[in-house]
Amino acid sequence: MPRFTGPGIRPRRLPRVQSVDPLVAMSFGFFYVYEITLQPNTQVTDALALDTDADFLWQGISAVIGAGTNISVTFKDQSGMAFSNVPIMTTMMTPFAANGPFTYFPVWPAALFPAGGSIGMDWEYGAGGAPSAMTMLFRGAKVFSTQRT
Amino acid sequence: MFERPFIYAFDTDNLTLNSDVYNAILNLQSDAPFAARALNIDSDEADFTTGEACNVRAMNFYRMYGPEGQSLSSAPESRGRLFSPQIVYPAGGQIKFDLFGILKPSNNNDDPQGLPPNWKGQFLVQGAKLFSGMEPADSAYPYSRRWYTYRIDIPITWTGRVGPGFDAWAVPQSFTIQVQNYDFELHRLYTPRSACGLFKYMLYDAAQNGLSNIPVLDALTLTYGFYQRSAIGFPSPHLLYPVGTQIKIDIYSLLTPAGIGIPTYSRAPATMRLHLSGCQHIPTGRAA
Repeated sequence: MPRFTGPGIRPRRLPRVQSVDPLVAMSFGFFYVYEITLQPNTQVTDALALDTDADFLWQGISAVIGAGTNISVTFKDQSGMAFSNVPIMTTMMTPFAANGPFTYFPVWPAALFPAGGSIGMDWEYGAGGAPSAMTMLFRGAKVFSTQRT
Repeated sequence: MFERPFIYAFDTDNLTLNSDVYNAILNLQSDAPFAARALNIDSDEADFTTGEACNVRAMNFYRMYGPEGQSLSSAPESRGRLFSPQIVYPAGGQIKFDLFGILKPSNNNDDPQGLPPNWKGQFLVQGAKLFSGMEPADSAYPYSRRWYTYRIDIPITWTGRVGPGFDAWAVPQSFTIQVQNYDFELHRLYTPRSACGLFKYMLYDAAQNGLSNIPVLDALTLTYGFYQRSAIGFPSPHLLYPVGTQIKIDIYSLLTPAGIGIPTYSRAPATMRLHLSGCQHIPTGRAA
């Protein structure tokens, strides 16, 4: 009869972690801050421009939303390929007060954007009563090449 | 050997208020041993600790027993827990437990309009079925993983209780998401911050195997933004849905008719915005 776990129980298969080879790159934790004010019943296409000094490894996101709770967004990569089938709700990315402000909705596997690239966003603000100012924190790491050119 | 995420749940809806229940049993299905990895309960009677509205009933303490009848704690416990290492119960076996001090939700008093109490609660053991044999095929092509989320808005327009006196339960309704473009690996069911205790659900894998013995409560299995009651999230381990297959979920409404019922947020209709987060398998030109 099986009892507690032991060598006979195979460990669960874990997804591989995207990593950066330290011989060719160095990474530093970095936040990109993005702000936008949306009007009710509008759709806005925008992008976060990334610095040109390093690639950006996007690992998580956090949102501080204003008056509007009916706001959703589709994130897109450099090629315009979406990260969701339809816009996802920003209320899912707002930290609970009990968790403190430094919690992030996970972006897993982390998405690597090239230096000078951009993270595309298609915003939708449905029915709402007032303009809503939003601040998004893109958490991740700048990845610098250490190879001589 | 391979694993399939699975939940064994025990409904506490109809237990007598303030009572103790001894020797309660979850009968395990006979197709595979079950590895228990987490226990999810609502033990504080209050709303979500985050302040979210939640009408899920609770219990003061519980005691759970292992596969050979041994108690898993020196005294009754009061919180959900992680089983590490996991505890393996044999196929067709039983999970025995005691419940002490059945409570009702603090925000859900007896209904003055004559409806039966709208309480829901579960003692919920989460883990995986352990199957012998070959592991189901991975994607048929070399791939790299890419973060991806499917969102589905589920309009719950029907009430949970029907019939004279609202003493019968409505049949569930099925919703599906078509997996498009690439194989999809489902890691977690998220929903935006909102009220909970509004529905139960049954999730199916790509081969249409149900992933729980009975429909499970939203409040104890979904991740609400950053907050989750489950110690390991659901589903865990992750599930693979090949492109062209469907992610199916049966929804069992717990809503009361429009205009009546307490709390007011549990009145029909409501929309639950589920986010199925995971990753796509993007084909690559080389071996993954």
